Amino acid sequence: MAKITYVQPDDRAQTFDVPAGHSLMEGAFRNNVEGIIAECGGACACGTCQVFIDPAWAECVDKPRPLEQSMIEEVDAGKGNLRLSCQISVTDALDGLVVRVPTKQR
Amino acid sequence: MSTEAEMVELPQVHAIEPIPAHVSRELVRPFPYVLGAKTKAKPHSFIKAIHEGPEVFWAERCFNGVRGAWVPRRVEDLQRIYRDTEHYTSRGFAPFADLVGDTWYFVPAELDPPMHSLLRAAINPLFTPKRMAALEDKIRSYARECVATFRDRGSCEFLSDFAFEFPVKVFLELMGLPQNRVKQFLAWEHGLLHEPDIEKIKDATRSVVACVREEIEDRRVSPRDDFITFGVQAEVEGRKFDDNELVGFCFNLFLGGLDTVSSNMGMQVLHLAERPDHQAILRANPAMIPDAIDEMMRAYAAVATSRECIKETKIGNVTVKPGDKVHMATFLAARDPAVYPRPEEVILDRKPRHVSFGYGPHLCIGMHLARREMRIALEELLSCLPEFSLKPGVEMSYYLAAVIQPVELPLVWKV
Repeated sequence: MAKITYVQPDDRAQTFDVPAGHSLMEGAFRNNVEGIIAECGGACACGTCQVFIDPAWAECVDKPRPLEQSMIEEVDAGKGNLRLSCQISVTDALDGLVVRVPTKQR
Repeated sequence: MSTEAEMVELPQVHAIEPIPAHVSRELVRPFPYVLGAKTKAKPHSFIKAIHEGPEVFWAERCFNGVRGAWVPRRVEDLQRIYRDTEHYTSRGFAPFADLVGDTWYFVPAELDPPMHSLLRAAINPLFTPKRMAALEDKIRSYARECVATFRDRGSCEFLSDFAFEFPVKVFLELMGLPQNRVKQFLAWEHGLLHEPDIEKIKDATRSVVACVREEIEDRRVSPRDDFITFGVQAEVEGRKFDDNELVGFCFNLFLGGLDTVSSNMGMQVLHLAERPDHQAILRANPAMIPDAIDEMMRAYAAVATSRECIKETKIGNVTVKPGDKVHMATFLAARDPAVYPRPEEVILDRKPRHVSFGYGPHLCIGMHLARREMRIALEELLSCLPEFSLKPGVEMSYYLAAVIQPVELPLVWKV
């Protein structure tokens, strides 16, 4: 279990307990976090569950695999902290993680 | 009240494959959405009764016009099967290569793990929202060109005057092919998808493959900024795409991007022609168009694909055996009463989660482009034309497969 905070573009923050093994996307989806569409259901195919990882946490999250990388590099434009939330599995080590939801997903 | 059999015109075929022994005869149900079938009834009107039947049933002829398949109808089952690459393969979902004795396969639609994600990763950069956004003006100019040909006439046949031609223009642009080939590509598209005669399907397949091979060779010699060149130069696991992958990539772009978009646009414009109130709402509030399109994509979902079982499994209580086809009819899930209250009704701001673009790893790779094309089409039609309606006295008929589509859509408006 980890406490994950999802911050909206207008700075509204919501914090939820997300079980280890769930993805950040599932944590958002099950708690009806606005702005996470996840049209493909978590298969790294739609690119509509993007989140920005708080820079303070950047080192704690696994690096994206090539399929995810192919969907985010253009949007991210080298900043390095945009991720697809379906591809990040929650572990106890992510307790306290803060992510920001972008203004739009597509 | 006529029966379903009277309302659907089915093509004659020489040999329907027998129902496998493990399929319970009680689960064999009528299913009108088979290759070559046409109807004068509303094409989605058969779905309500299907949802009153079993959760999954066996339908004859629904794969390739001759072979039977399991048909799930609930959103939940379709979503699960789309994601289940352990028990199902995507290979063999379209008959074209088999029909002409070729060995290529759709890329990425017919790939399974692990190749699927490798090739999809290689192709993804073509379809990012940013790259699609850069096409906005070009796409809008093609839509305007089409509308300009009929606006002052006060009438059009929407399918041939707009719905087919517009996505073909965009496709030719993306592929780096000249715009004067529109008619040729339209003829091939019709041959592949709306000919009950198998020989005509084979002819169209051979023509498209020959064209694609020629263009591939051309791009090897003179690379340009287009999708075919991208395919020729793309790499997977440190090697270039092989011949089967390249042909399959181009064929997939062709089939995925044309008829599906045309069908959806046709059904959307038909809905608006019959609902002047909805037309007025969207004309006054163009910002509502994207949500309206998603709701109409749900209500009038047009596409079915298929999976083949590779490891025994179950859908509900039914055992699915290796070799069994599963018909993934998005138009059934789209009207699942367990998910969508009053599923027959179009509620412009319903904002449904639908599976009309599929679901899971094979979710339509071109969906950002498709949504953009459909939005621009409606924006242009609604802003350039006054209130339009169906031509009085016209008797509509529809193809029920491979995609659901009006045969013709004659519209009129005041000039």
